Amino acid sequence: MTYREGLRAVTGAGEYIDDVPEPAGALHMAIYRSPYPHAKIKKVDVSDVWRRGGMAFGPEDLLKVVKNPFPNALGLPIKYYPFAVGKAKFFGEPVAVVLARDKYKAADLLDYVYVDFEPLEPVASIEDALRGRALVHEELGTNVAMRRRMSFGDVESAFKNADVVEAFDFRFPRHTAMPLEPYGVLADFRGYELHAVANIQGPALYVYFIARALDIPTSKIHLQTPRDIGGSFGIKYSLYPYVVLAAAASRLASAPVKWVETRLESLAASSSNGERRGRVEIAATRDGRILAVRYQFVEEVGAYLRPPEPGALFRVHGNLNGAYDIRAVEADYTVVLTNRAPTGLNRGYGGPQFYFALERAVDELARRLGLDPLDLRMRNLITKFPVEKYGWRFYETPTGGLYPMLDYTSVVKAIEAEYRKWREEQERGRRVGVGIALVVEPSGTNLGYVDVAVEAEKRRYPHSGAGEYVTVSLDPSGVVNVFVNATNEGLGHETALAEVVARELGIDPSDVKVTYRVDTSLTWSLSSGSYSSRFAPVVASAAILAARRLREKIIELGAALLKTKRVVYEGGVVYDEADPKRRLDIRKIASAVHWDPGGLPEGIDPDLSATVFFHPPTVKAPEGDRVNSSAAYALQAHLAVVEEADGDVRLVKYVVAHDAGRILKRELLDGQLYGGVHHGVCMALYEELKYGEDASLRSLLLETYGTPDLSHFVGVEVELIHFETPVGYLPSGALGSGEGPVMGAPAAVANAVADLLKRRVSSLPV
Amino acid sequence: MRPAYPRPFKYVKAGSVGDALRYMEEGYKPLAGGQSLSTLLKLGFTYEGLVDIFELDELRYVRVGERLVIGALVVHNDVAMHRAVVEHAPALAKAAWHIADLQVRNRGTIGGSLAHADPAANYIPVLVALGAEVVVREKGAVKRMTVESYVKGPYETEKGLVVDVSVPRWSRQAVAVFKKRGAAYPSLVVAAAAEEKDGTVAKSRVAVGGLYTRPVAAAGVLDGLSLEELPGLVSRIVSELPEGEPYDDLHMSYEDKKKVLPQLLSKVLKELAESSAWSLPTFDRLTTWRGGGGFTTWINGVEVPVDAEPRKLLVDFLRERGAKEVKRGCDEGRCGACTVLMDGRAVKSCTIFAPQALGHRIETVRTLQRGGELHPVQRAFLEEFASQCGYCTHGFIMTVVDYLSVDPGVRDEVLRLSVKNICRCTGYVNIIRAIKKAGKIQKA
Ligand SMILES: Cc1cc2nc3c(=O)[nH]c(=O)nc-3n(C[C@H](O)[C@H](O)[C@H](O)COP(=O)(O)OP(=O)(O)OC[C@H]3O[C@@H](n4cnc5c(N)ncnc54)[C@H](O)[C@@H]3O)c2cc1C
Ligand code: FES
Ligand code: FES
Repeated sequence: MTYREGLRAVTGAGEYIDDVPEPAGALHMAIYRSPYPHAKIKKVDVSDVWRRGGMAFGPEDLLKVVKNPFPNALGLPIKYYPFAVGKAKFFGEPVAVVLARDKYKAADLLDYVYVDFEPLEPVASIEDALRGRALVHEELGTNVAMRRRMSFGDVESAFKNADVVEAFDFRFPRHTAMPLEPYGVLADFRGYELHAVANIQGPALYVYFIARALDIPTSKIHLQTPRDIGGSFGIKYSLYPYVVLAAAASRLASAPVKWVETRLESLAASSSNGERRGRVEIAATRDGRILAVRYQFVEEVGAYLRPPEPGALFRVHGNLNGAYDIRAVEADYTVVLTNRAPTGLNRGYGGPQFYFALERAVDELARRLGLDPLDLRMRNLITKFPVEKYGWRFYETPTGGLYPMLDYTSVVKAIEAEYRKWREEQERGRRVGVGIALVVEPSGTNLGYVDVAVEAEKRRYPHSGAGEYVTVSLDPSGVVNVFVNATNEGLGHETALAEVVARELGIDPSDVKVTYRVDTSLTWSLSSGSYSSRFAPVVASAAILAARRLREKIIELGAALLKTKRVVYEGGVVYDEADPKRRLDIRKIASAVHWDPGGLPEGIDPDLSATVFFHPPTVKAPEGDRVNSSAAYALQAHLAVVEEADGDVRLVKYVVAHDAGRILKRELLDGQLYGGVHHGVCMALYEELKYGEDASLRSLLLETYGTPDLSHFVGVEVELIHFETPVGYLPSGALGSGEGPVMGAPAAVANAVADLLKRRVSSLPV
Repeated sequence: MRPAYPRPFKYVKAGSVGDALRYMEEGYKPLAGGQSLSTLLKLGFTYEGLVDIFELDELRYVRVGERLVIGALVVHNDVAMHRAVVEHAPALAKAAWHIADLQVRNRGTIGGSLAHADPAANYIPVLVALGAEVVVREKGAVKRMTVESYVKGPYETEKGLVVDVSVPRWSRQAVAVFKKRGAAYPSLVVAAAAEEKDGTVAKSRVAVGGLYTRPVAAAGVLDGLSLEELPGLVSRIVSELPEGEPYDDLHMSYEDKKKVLPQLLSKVLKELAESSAWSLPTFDRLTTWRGGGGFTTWINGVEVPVDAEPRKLLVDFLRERGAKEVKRGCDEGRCGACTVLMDGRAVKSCTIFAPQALGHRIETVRTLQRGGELHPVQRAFLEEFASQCGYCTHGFIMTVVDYLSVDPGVRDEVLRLSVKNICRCTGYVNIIRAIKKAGKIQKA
């Protein structure tokens, strides 16, 4: 057993963006950022910077090479450039760039950029946005970017016939998972081609955005990631504007440009989820049967609509009924623009907000009905999976989701003993709060779900997508090379894939080399990247299929070399079925084929490589407003216990019971669960990107963002209970599990605090 | 929003106290541990010149006489752990334990903390409660004053070089530090000192820091009361405390602090009555920081000239010289990703300026694994899957190496006060396991 990424980490051998050797003559970029959330830019004068030995470019210069604004998912006429044009629309928005020989000097020269601002009334909150007195984009004529109302099943009669309707109003804060390593870009625009290395999270759509903005074909873009990325959690998807900014600076300066963000900048202007306010209404019978649920969400996305936004609302589209057998669902969504930093992917993308709303509301319903929250959940839990498709059984949700069959009841029951134990502690007088939450965790995003943001009639083309390429090949010494065009930000994919591929081929994982990094000069797809916990269901499946195809080739070549028809493949060895002593191992076959392909019989293909594109069978374009928004859905039951200590609430214990299909590597899975719980606890108890009434950011330091450190978790017990149901419709049998914990923890912790303090917790962090 | 790199300043290293005073006369600002100054510089404050006093070991002493005298440059970890401080001023030692983390305490000094006069500083309320005095020198003058009169407001003190503080003896003393969830700095500090006769308080002082723009103290409020009844009298005692100008900090409003005050005071009074045994690590030695001088530093055993601008942060200097394993993760000396060993002690290299490394030995993980074997801490981190993206790992490992020298048994209480690095990936579960395992491996 070697934890490959771990070995690099403990020996200090990782190579992160700031470690990548910079091209000779590289200039360091510093960004002049708007100190105002909303201000007209009357004049930008950078001439003094040139006089003092640096270079600088303002919006007018940059517009010469950044020819197109970035597109948005709603097709709105919003002009999003990587720098402010005409007016600054959020605190920290880039206005100009300065280049110098080192980063200290570049920072110094920012003092000589003169910008004449005329402050405007800011759109500082959701309320401001809806009021519409000030507009973020005049050309839109409104701050409302989207309104959609969708109904599935007979919602109206469910609400009419309900014994009770529980309404729960909530607010979910802006949060960034805040990878410890900030953004970084090395851009070298030479010979009319862009060579860029950036710690971006995946090639995905962004290569197109970069190409469009710079008005060059994708054939002229060579985008790579460094071998290691210091955490991402979705945040590093939104790096693309800075890639364009650095590329533009490089083009204008005619020199390689390096930019590494600082923490202040990352908190102010990298990415986060948007603030959400809303209401959940649950229609139920007196005995606790949930008949329908209605969501009214208003989400702010900051100053620009950055793809896949407003996807945070739709990422959970297929699972709007949560873990419950609810046949009627209504969703009423409003998306507004504000003078805050633009939002984007953030771990759990949409899930933490959604499950906080649903699972807190379910708890309030239980309180109202005088039922135990666990019993209420059990009463509504999905138990039947009647739809047979793709060699497996599913529960089809009203919104189009396909939940693969798992034993939901056992998973939920697994936390029961611990739950009852703490309830007894409470009865004995101990001041603790106990909270639970159930999460159906979507993974392997279907890119097509973003289309639901647009009315079906207005969609021009069908979209679906969740697939990935994996290439495996056998080198002359019998080592299997695996290549995936995606990023390595600490998920342990090299270690896991080596084992997955080794298992398929019956060889030792040490004979498998895995390369996991982005290089857009090699095979990649629109859906490539490390996001939405897609490794287990999608990437591992592709790797398994590729390994199997390679195995077929090895068998064929082995048979040819053994000059026999019927062979058996076992443990990396091909042998003659009739005479098992006649055998060749992978090494010998590799060596023979590489050294003497000419010696192979006629018609035998010496190709020892295989590339497979695996696309999950369940992933299709939306039909109307129904879509199976994810390739896979796992189940998690969360239990949080909090207590009051020193005038504050403190987490005591956390339990996650879950079934995420086949477990590919337990230690790595555990790590994802621990880390996800942590981010969820941060959302629930600690962190918020706070904006003032003037729309300026108040959380520019870890100290004010509220980030906890190791000491806060000494003595907190986290327990994981694994179930393992390999699902039959995915070659890997595995479902994603990197985000369920962050989806469930805000709700579970909030439920526990509500239980402790006997109050309706409706806003986070508590 | 300037990226957090310090602006240029002139830098001199003082060879003696006299030297320091001369430069201060010329307007240079003293640089002690730099644990506050470096952050201010990164966040955009400007200073003409800094005179580095950190290596003046002559200001590092702990003397026990009628009063306990602590030299200005004694670092927080020594205030926390030195036997004489623990015995004579346990409340001060305890306050020191609650300052930041192991690395900040290895560099930050008691004199620097006093002179910085952060309303959220741990020491000041304790020193005020204990009736401590401070000795301040200016060229040609030595002044002695109470800490109360030395601190004039938030970040405002009397002028001059702090030389030492002296603390009278109190048989009973206690302190409580309140930090808001997720904050590194406290919002409220309450301290009390008392002398008792047959269970009744004969002499007392209570001080509160963080509530007002200056610490407030009340003498004699506990006098005549029995120790046991103290915790029951909290609200009365609160009402007898002097008031000041309300202070809202980044985390808490004055109003919220007032709500927490009674709980905190009651904790202090309980502790005062109980006088529990000291359970934290204690040592007899004092750390010295005088370097070998010269024009070079030693990075993992190799001599390297220091030819950088004074403002260059050590983290950047080390990385430019090839030690890329050292990472930067924040702008405020908080996350610990940049931790290296300096003369064997864990320090945050983003809080130290390149020329401060002159004549010192810097070590990274490269030294630990020299010879090809993993160090026990590395092994434990690997075996426990205590890293994911790996960005925080180097800093953690270097911190833990030093931490284990302080608390080889890895007790939760000490761990909680010492290792406060930040990891965004692991949720800390496996890191905490790895630290415990490393302790066991090292013991074996
Ligand atoms: C992450 C982090 C968390 C922290 N948390 C806490 C906390 O919880 N509680 C707490 O109390 N502190 C905390 N601190 C601050 C820490 O205690 C500092 O060490 C201390 O405030 C300053 O001491 P220093 O020796 O580092 O001084 P420096 O930073 O070198 O100097 C600070 C100021 O004092 C002046 N100065 C220094 N020495 C003298 C002297 N002898 N005479 C006159 N002037 C002098 C300097 O000119 C400067 O103005 C924290 C720091 C960090 C980085
Ligand atoms: S503590 Fe030095 S970089 Fe964060
Ligand atoms: S492993 Fe990524 S920050 Fe700790």
